[in-house]
Amino acid sequence: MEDYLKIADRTLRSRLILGTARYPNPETMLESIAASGTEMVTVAVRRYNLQDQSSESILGLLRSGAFHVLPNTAGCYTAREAVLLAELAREALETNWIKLEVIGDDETLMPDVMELLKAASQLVSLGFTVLPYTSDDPVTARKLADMGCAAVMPLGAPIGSGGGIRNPANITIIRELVSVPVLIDAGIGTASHAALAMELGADGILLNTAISCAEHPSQMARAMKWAVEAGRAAFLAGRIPERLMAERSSPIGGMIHA
Amino acid sequence: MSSIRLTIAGEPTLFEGRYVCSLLEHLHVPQDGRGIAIAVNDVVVPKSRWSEHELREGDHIEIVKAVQGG
Repeated sequence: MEDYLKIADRTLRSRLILGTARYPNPETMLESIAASGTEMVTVAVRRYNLQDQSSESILGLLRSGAFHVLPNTAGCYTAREAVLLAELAREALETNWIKLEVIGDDETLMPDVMELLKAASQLVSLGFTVLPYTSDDPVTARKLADMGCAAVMPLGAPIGSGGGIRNPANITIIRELVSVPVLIDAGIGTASHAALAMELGADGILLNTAISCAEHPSQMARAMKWAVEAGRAAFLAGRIPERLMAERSSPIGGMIHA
Repeated sequence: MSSIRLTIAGEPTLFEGRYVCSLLEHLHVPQDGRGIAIAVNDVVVPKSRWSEHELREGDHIEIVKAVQGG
């Protein structure tokens, strides 16, 4: 059975999107990307280093065309900054796609929802395919979807925390409320978190630190691939209802007496 | 040619030239444009206009590239 992830006009076989930051070295990054089976990777956009132009560019490492490259607006605190960075990313990477990130403070890296909504609305009207990193608040997610975002990406837990899915019920509510894909962005620490997110009905997972900072990144990448596939399969299979008390599985009849 | 004062990535810089493309050449930024973008006074100058966009005294320039990110 074909079960693809469709975001805007793009069809992806893998439901895992990978960040490219914080790997111990470029080789490990490439191994991990390959092991994860991902078809889309994120990059950041930063000032060109006029003093040191020696480092190999991320685009060179990724071999053009092998992956969809999704630029982000990480580090932006205001809608104004995020819109300009998105426009620069569109020019630099020749893509309308943007992972919109507008954060509220340094400690939590949680979204500034008011600035996020403002930026999302402007970018949608400028023709961008907007994938916003958002809080796990269902009303905000619905507003983002209603204004034309191509997906919504609620956090599971703070970025880089590895805290998993802190508010599973909200993820289920968001899945019920919006018709665009729901991708869990941030908070995944290990494979069971990814599987749980998918079991809750998430359409995909975006993660970075859980793999890049694992002791063995490419092994964790493989674990995440399986977890996303297992969680998705379980979601589609339709789990049994949870009960308080036991329900026997072996037949009662025909039992011996001693 | 007289030089103009620009601010590049927040740093005041004197530049003897007129166009975005000559500034990029002066700064040794590759002109193939792959992964690079430039904004003048918070407005993106598309690659197609690098050779004709004239820089002016006091312009604020940001040059960016794609880097590893999450």
